[in-house]
Amino acid sequence: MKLKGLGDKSYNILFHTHTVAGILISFALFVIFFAGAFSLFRYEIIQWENPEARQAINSDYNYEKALAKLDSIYTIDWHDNAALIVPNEKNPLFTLYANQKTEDHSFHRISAYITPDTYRVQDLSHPHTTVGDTIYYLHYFEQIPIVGLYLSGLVSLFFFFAIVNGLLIHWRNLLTKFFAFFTEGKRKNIWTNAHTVLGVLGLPFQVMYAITGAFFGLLTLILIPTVFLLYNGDVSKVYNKVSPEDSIVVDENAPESRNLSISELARQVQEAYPHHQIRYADMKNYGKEDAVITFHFDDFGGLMSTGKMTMYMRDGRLLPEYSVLPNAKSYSESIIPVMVKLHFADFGGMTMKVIYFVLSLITSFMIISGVMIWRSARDNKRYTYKQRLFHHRVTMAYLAICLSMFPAFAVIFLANKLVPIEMVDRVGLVNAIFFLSWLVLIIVGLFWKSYSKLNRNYLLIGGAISLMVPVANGMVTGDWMWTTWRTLPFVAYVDLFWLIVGVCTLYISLKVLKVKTASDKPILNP
Amino acid sequence: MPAKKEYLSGPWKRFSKLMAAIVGAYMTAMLFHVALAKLAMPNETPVVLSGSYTGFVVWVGLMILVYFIKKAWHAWLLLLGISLFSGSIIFF
Repeated sequence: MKLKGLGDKSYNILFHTHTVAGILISFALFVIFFAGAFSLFRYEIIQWENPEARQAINSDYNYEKALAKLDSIYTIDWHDNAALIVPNEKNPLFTLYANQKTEDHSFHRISAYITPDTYRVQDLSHPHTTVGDTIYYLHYFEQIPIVGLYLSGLVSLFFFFAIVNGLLIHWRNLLTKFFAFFTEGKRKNIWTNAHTVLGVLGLPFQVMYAITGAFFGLLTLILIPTVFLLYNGDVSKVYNKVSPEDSIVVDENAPESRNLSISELARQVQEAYPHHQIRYADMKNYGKEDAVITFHFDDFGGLMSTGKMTMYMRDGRLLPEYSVLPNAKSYSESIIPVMVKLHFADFGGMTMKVIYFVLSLITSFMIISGVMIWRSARDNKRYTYKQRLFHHRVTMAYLAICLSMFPAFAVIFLANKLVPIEMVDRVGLVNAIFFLSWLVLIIVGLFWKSYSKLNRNYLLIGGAISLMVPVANGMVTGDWMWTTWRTLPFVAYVDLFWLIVGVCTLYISLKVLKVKTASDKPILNP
Repeated sequence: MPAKKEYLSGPWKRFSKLMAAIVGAYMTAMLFHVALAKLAMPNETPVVLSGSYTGFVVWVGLMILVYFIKKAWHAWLLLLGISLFSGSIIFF
């Protein structure tokens, strides 16, 4: 059965816009999806990356003691909003984000974590370790000053444009070609088949990420007209619809009082929702009579399972007008939390994260296959030699940028262990190693003449470094896979992941892949 | 196969269409959303919050429409029409 497709003119125009939009965003989109795939496990790798986090949760942790210690270091302005990330099984470190009291009332945000055993304070503006953060920031180009986030949002928007265009031009063949993912036929067709079939299979996932990605990146663009035309420039009117608890006014000069402890308040939430886990809490006017705290909790099960409870800290009395209970939300209360959940895969447990990871890699492959279609469709006599050389060089550069990410990611995991933990500003060094090794890998890759060689060599390098990752972790921290398996499962998972990835990629690159030694560079007058 | 050249347009028309697709479609989509929210006042919360995703859907939809329409000035006319209609709801 054939669906009625576009007319010739529309088909060609949309084909062209699909190609142009696609090729412009392709390598940036690949970086987003590849780094994003690893960012899904940002919290799962905390214990692996930071040996200080490799300890059990302290069940009678004293938050007041921790906050007092932080206050003595930073003199925190408790009247302002302070966010507490409470310890959990993936990260037993208690983290605080708050504002500092400054002489001139300027705004200075601090963040620090406090260890559960010795209450040691570690400032997070100079963190000890990074892997998850660097990769997470990379997935929305945070490393590019000011415009990084907006760029990623625009890439997401044009990704959506390319998806809809792609769907429209493929419409005629949507049903007939759906089962056409064969390796037989012309070898050239493998890219086209892979591109369309994986594009159709991944469609819901990709549309979801295109829209939620645009939302996170370009939220400002959506907010500006609404705020100025509807609310006379008062942005808090929109924010308060999402988090009404922010509009609670507390009195800076309220009398001090002996409030209930944070653990006691948290217990109230736990009793009401025993299967939920508190993720973080927002607190205002800590230590004063009218102090309020909002606990945000989730069971990571369904899309509607987040909730928040706002209560007075003096007696734990719930403020129902600001509280949102799980699975009992209105449409307006659900929109933003559901978009956040969809984007961060905070539902369906580990299985869902693995599915997300695989779909992200499939999408990355689809992006690459699009570039390969673009190139192979232009590798013929209808183009001048100069044009064909240009197509070849663009393809080469794109492949080098994209495919070298895998070895570069293995490098950052390795660097995290090899740079001595006591070193001052080791995070700067780890980041420098990561970005420089990525750059070097790209430059080296440009000298490998064929695409298949480029691919094979990156897999080979990446596979070899992957195998070193669990070994380095065992040698440096003493936590080998076979001991962490029972005590620190998340540490073991990371080691196991790199072990399996290393073995598989080495096997594939040495035994399976056929490498073309001749150059893919177009030949003048063939 | 790449798109056939004879169906594609010249540089000025291309620029005009690009502007219509990015800037024009954005402004039209936003004005349309604000107008909807204005109509729903004082219960505009679901409309405003839905804009966080429908905003992009409408923007991209208009973007494609711009390329679908043959003449660039027809596309501008359509965007202007929706914008003026939305504007009249917002300001009057």
